[in-house]
Amino acid sequence: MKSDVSALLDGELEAHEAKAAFAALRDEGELRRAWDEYQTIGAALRHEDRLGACLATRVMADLARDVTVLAPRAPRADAWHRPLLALAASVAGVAVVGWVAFSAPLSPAPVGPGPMAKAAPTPESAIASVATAATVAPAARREMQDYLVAHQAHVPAAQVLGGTQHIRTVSVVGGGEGR
Amino acid sequence: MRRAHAARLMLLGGLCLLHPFLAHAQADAMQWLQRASQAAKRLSYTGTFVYQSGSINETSRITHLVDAAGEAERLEVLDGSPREVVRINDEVQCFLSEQRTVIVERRPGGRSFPALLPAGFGGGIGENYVVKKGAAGRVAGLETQSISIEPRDELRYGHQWWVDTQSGLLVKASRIGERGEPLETFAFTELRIGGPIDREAIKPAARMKTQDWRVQQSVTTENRADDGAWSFRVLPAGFRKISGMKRQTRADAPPGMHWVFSDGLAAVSVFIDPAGDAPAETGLFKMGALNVYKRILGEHLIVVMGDVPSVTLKRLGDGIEGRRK
Repeated sequence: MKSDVSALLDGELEAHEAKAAFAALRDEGELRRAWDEYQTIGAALRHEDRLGACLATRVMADLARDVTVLAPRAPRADAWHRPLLALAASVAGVAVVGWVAFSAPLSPAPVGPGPMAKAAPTPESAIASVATAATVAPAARREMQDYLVAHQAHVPAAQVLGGTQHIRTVSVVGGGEGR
Repeated sequence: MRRAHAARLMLLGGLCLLHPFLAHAQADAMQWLQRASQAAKRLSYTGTFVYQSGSINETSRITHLVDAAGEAERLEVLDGSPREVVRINDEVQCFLSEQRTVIVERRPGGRSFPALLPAGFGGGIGENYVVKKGAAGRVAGLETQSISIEPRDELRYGHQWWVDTQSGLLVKASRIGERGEPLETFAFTELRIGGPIDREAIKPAARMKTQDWRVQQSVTTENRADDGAWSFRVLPAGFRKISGMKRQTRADAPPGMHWVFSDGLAAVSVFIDPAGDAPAETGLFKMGALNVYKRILGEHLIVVMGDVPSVTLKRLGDGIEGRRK
């Protein structure tokens, strides 16, 4: 998947592949770190001096300055359009890092229409789909634990998985996640 | 000419032979699933397994005991904060040392699952999944038969199972996402089937003292036929209701409702409770390997969760309406 992240950065992915890569990027911490690393490497190659700053913070600062930059159109494969693809991809990339920052596993609120919603109004764009699910925050998680235990106690999968399926309950509730 | 005719006949014959063969292959694979579901209930065993899902990677010990008193099991997480799940027949207790909490959940009526499912285990699996036998291989030192369970549509996930050829016990299981990636995997690393198992082995550890712990117990009463004030306008294809309960989680609050829907393999829970005073977060969430959808309907909070894609939860959740009186 890391190669997908790299390809995404280079604007080499088709629309449907990019969508999957965005989703993976949001779900997997390791990929997100890879993304950050690649950005850092890219910045070093371009001799940018703000290497140390957290990318997501920089992106948010950039967004605050200029929201109009975030209106990426769905990339098309037309020949004349090709040179713009890389640019479109990097704009979309900036947006996705913004979303990732919003929906980081421990964020207290679910991802909803944030400041980005105005800037990227196309709901079917890859960026919008990235924002479809957030990880339940620790506080909300505690509130949800009753539901989870009840669900796990009553699901028929218990028949085949046996007791092993109860690990789902204590792994999430007990905070095994995100360590 | 004659040769061409013979070739055509052979082709036709081959196709006729192939059709029952394919049907037989699915039936054969389904028998493995039946076997696995029976083995999980009937066999006593003890072993160590690894659970992997997203950033979670934990090793646990499990002991399952079947005797005259029924079924009992204990799951003990060996990594991180001490956590245990003890189940004795229909009562499940979760011990969470970090939160000093024990959550108790009891299935109503003392009925076990085959009775809850109208067509027994496997009802609906054939319509919603393509079940195939895969390669033979070794897991935890045991010879296994792999079974692939592919979804017929985007409303459910696929599975890959490895069944011990000798005992029929499921020793490894992966749930597969839309992009073919494993969403969660259970895999035994060591397993002992049968043999004498001491009843002491299913008692929670001494450190799981409940004296100063918070005990959270909900009281459920089965209420399968009556959905009360609610109607489910949309049932995602292949899913049907397998149970309905009234749930009282706190003595000072009105009861909520809990329904379980299943497609034979995956399960979705729907909870409807009075919405609290604090505004609830709504939308799509993840809790470990499970997806969650929350929405507010009037003065109620609807929570839909399950091991299915978000689209299935949303379809079911958005179709819930208050019944006009």
